[in-house]
Order: sequence, then C-alpha cells, then structure tokens
Amino acid sequence: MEAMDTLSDHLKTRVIELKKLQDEGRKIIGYTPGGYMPEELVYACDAVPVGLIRGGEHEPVLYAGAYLPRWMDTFCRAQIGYKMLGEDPSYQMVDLLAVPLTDNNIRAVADCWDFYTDTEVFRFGIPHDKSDFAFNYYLDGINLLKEKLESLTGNKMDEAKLKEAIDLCNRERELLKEISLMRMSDQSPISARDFIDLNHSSFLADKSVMVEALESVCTEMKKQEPARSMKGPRILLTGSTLARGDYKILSLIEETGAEVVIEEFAEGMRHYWETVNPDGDFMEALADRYFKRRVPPAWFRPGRERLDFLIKLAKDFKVDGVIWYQLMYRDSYDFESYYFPPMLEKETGLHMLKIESDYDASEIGPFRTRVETYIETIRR
Amino acid sequence: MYTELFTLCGYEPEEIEKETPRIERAFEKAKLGREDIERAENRLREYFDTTSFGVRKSLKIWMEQFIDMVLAREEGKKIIYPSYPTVPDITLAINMASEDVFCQTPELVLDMVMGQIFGKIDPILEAAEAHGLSQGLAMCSLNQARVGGIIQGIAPMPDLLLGTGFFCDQTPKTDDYLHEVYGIPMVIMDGCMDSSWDEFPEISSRRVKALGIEIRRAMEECQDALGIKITDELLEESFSDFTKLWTSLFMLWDYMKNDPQPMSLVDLGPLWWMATSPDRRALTEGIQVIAQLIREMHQKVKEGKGVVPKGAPKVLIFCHQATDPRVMRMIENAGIAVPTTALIGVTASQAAAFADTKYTIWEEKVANNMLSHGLYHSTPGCIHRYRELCQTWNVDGVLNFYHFSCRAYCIAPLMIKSAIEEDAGIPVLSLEGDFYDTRQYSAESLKTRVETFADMLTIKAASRSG
Repeated sequence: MEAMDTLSDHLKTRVIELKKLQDEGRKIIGYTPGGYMPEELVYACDAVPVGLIRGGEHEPVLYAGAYLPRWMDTFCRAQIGYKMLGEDPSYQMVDLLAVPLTDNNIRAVADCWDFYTDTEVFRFGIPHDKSDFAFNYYLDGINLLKEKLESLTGNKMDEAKLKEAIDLCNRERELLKEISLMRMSDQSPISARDFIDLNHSSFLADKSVMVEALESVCTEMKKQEPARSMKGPRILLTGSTLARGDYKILSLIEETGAEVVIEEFAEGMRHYWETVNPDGDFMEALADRYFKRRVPPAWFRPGRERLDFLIKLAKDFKVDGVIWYQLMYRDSYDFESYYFPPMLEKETGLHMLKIESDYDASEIGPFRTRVETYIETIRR
Repeated sequence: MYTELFTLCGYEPEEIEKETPRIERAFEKAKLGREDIERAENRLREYFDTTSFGVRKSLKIWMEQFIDMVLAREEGKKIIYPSYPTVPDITLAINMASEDVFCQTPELVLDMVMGQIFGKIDPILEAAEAHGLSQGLAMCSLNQARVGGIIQGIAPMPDLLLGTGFFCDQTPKTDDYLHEVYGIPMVIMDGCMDSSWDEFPEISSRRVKALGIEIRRAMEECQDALGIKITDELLEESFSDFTKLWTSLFMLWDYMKNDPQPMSLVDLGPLWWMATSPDRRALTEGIQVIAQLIREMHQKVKEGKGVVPKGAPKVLIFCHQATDPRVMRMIENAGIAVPTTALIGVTASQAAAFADTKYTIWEEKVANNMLSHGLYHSTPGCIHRYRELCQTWNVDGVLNFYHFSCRAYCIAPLMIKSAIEEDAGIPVLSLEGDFYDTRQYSAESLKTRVETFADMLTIKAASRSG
C-alpha cells in the first residue's frame, strides 16, 4: 500500500528529524511501551514522545548481563542493552525516560538507566488492581508526570493543547481499531505483519504523519477488491511483549500458511480499543482511559479481566488457535499460561500453544517444529 | 521414635509425651517416617549447635508451628496464610486477636521444618513444579513451597490468602494463581516502588500513606473474612510488642560483633525468621529464647569461644539460606566470619525514621517503618542500607549471596557491587544462589568461589597488617 511506503520513508529519516527538533529546543521523552503512558501529556507540552520498543535481537540481551542478572524479562534486558551499547540514536537522544512502573522487570530498566547513565528517569507507579484508591494513585502519578514535563520543557500545559493532543491520539486509536476490526473478516484485507508494522510505527512516527498514513490505509483497504486470499488457520497471538523487530514468531506462523488475525500484548503493541472521553476533567479522562478501562496485563491481580478479554477476542475474530508468545522470566505470564488453557478450552474448544523466547537465534529450529505441529493439529 | 528428635528440638520429656498424638497425626499427613526422623536427628547434630539450650528452644518454636499448621484444619481453626515478605505487625495482630485463627506464612514453616530440619523440601518444590511453577523460569522457590505445601496437603487449604505486592510481584501472582485454580479468597496489599532515584533516605509521604491505606484495607478485609475484631488498642499493643521483640533480637545480635564470632548464623536463623513473621509464641517463648541466647553468648564471649578463628575476615551477607544449613556452614568453614545479614539491624537512617513523629496512626507508622528499611523502598534504598551496615559492622567484604529468582532484589546485586567497591573500597562477591532450594545451588557448587573470596580477604588482611 502506498501509504505504508510513505510511512516507511518517514521512519527512515525520523531519527534525523528528532535530532533537528531536539537541536531546536524540543525535548525528547522516551518511555517504556506498556500502554500506561499518556502521550497526550508529552504533546501538550510541545515535547516529542518516543516509545522504546525495539527488540528481537540477542546481542543487547547478552550485553545487559553486565548490568543485571539474567533472570529478568528478555525485553527489559534488551532495553538496558540498547542503551548501554550506545548504537541506537533513539535510545541515546532521550532527554527524559518516563517509566510507568508496572512490575519489577520494568523497574529494572528504570533503575539501570538511572544508575549507569546520565539520562534522567521519571517513575510513576501503576497499581495492580482497579479499586478507586488505585485509580486515584494512577491519576496522582500522571499529575506528577505533567508537572515534571512542564518543568522540563518550560511549557505550561493548557486545556486547549491537551484537548488537541487527546483528539489526535484518539484519532490514531480509532483508526487502528477500525483496521483491526476489518481483520474479523474471513478475508482480512491486511496481513498481520503489516498491521503490526503500523502499530509499531505509531510509537515512533510523528503523530500527524501517522494519522494521515492510517487514514490512507483505511481508505485503501475499503477500496481493495478482491480482498487478500486467506486459507490457513486463523490465529490469536498473545503474550507479554511483541517488540519492533521481534518478528520470528510471525514469520514461523506465516510459513505454515496460518495467519494471525488479532494480537493482544501487554507491551510493544499500542492499545487501541478504548479512546479518551474528552468531556470533563482531562486528567481524569486520561486516567479513566489508560488505567480504568484499559484491559490490564497479567501483572494485575486478579488477572481475570484480561483472560476473559482473550476469550472474547478468540470468539469475535473466529480464531482456530491461540499462540501464547511470552518472553523468558516474565513470570506473571507463566502463571497465567498454566491456568488459561483449560478456561480457553472450556469456553471455545480451542487449544493453546505456548512459546517462550529469549531473543536467541538458536530458538528458531525448535520453534518451527512446535509451530508447524500445532498448526497441523488445528488446520481445518 | 520421636524422643531423640524432639529432645534435640528443645522439648521436655513430658511435653513429648503429651504431644505425641498430635505429632503422629501431623507426621502422617506430612509423610514423615522413621528414615526422615533419623535424617533430621543427624542434620540437627551436624549443622546446629544442639549443646545450646537456646538453639534447641528456637527450633522447638518452629516444630510447634509446623504441627499447629498441619493440624489447623482438623483442630477447627480458621486459617490465613500471609505471604512473604509479610507485614509482620498484621500477622502478629491477627494472632493476638483470636486463638481460633492460625495465621502464619506456610512457606516459612515448611522451609524451616521440612527444609532445615528434615532435609525434605524437594518433593514440595517438585509438586509446585508439576503444577505450573516450573523450574528454570525464575519461579521463586519460596512461592513454590507455598503452592507445593498446599498441593501436598501438608499446609491445609486456607480460608484466606493475605498477600503483599509492595515489593515482590511474583508473590501476589502466586496468590492469584491459588485463587484462580483453587478458588481461595485473597487479599493483596499492593504498592508501587516509584520513588525518585535520589529520594532515600527520605520517604515520600505519598508512598507511606498509600501503603498505610493498603494495610488498613487488608486488615479490615481479614476481619470480615475471619469474623474477628481487631481494635485500635490491639493494633497499638501489637506494634509495641513487635518493637520489643526486635529490640531484644538486636541486643542479642550485638554480641555477634565480638571477635571471634561467638555463634553461627545457622543457629540464629530460626529466631530471625520467627521475628519476620511473628505470632503469640514469638512474644512468649521467642523472647525467652532470646534472653537465654544472650546469656549463652555472654558466656561464650567471656571464654573467647567462637565458630571461626579469632581475626577471621568478616563479611556482610544478604540473607542466609532458609532450607539448608550446609550453605552457611560451608562459608564459615572457608574461614569467613558472617556475623550478620543485610536484612538484620537498625541503620541510622532507619532509626531516624522510627523516631519521626510525623505519622501517628498505626498503619502509617507500620508503613513508614517498613519503607525505612531501604529494601522495600527502592534500589537506592537497598544500596544505602548496605553502605550503612558495612560501616556499622566494619566488615572486610560483602558476600552478596542473592536469591536468583527474587524479582525485586535481582535488580540490585551488580549495582551494590559497583557502589560498595567504588565508594567504600570493600570487595564484593556477587554470588548467585537460591535461599530456599539447594538443588541447583548446593553448598558444594558454591564452595570454590567462596573459598577463593575467603583467600583474597585473608591475603588482603595480612598485607594490611604488614
């Protein structure tokens, strides 16, 4: 699609553009992509958000071993490795790392950046249930983030700017959702790889360019006749993190002729199901969208809401199988991967395949065998 | 059959006779037979100082806990399992509120008795591994013991799980697992370690108040679930009793500053673990045992007796192994004095927080005290604690034996090494291990690195003394 080519070109020069913006005085705000960071606050302060979503490579994971014992989540170790290796400009140029603190794996990223580098880190806690107290704690946290951003940028956040940012981010979410819903069709008009690519791009691209690209993709998809041909089993891909560049599992699934038609990940994929309600107090509206209404990851307890959501997605998208792709040592997901399969089978009759990765190339062979066997067993 | 074992554990003959029916029932449920009893007797003789009356009595406290726990359901008790780390004040307050409630951390009871004493923790861990808490995936062996103990029926199915999520996130997820799989109700005291890097030793009132609210909410939910009443007076009383318990424990630990080190950490371990999750027994028998051990320590110091030679290099360790006394004995046998751990002792910054009168309501005082420890506050809080303890104990090195699967602590070891070596010039050995499982990290597998570290400290000390 032409729009995707345009977006791809934009991303190729994005780092240079970011550097120019930084030289002009704009602040670059890096953040961990767990879905709890309201980018709207960054835009409303005239700063630029950059989601740190790179992954899939083993070298940074190994490199992080000099700073952190290996028994933490692979993606989180990679975020430490990328920073310490100093090779990726987008990790080097951030003026502030904002960390919505979801669990100890993410805390490890914040702490290593704080201890071993000069980059300033701002943490705000994500409580692990949805009580009123937890909501208020999150709201308080994003208010502190707002103050921090204002002081860092020297720009006071006014209501008009925040409203404008909310509208822009809402539009992005609406479009991602619209495209995602088209994948419910028996002949999904977009491949999983393209959709994930769009989603990942949204963490890095200029928001206006991104929205424009999504509008074009949406229009093109509606015009597309005939739709892509889909014959293989339909897959729900879920797990802890799907980082940009971590496409090994997708390739293996594609090679078997199966197709991922919906994804649900705690980190790495932008959550697009809900929008911010722009009425009333904007900060409360952000907390309502990002904390209260967002389907929580496995580190919530109880964690049932997400499992029920997965079952709903499996039904809505008429999938034939569920592949649980998690990264090593993300223990909350390990727990759920034990008791979710019987729930899934009871509700949908589907079986689940669990795959665990440490971003190691040597995993490909065993993964291929397991994925191929699984797809063979579910093939209609 | 039980006489020798229970005598080694400080029981009097008449107590053994009276308790025999309960012992038999408990041992049957735990599948402990003659062979296990013989192994336990040998382990106690080999690794514990069973000539010490105080040590035997401290083992007795755990043996009593174990029998109480195994029989709690059939003896008609309401059962509540706090998880580790506990909020000890709550454990104590619940225990003080009703004698009809068994409130104790089962994983600690199992580690101390099935692990330390019987050397039979592995089947419990394996039971958890067969039910989703797989080996090799950084599943904490303490959480495995919690799950495995329940699966095996050694720890009866509880009425309520009381979890904590302000430090470790695997602990509450373990309770979520038990809730989902077995339908056990749970209450979690949540928290977020989101202080700024340079906050400690200050503690933001935001975090104190948040943890306080969670503690109060948990307390109220426990009362509703168990049908007990915990008055504010009782809470203040438990706060005061808890302070007294720890004050007397610190008095005991002060004797460990003597050269030669008068006792092994193995022998003081049961008391320390008891104080981290105290019940009524800790306030009565526990305080008596501490007084007894103070007398014994005093005598040992007077006679110049020690577990390591005088002048042995002295190290600070993070925490001692809870299920296998052989690890600590191996360290001492390498010629290293290990008088204390990073979890014990009141640092100056802690003392300042204790003296702070800003917080007057019970739960906020408890929260403030817990966060001032450092470990529960943040990684910088943990590093700060190490710095202070190295100074207070004037150690020659830090043996940072860390629990590899501890999600919360695993962030800090290499930072501690860097900070302590660079700032204080004290050598640090960062030693990956497991506090509650020695299948992969046995004393033998750790020995070479510990001995090399001991040699290095000895050479350093010799070159210093000229």
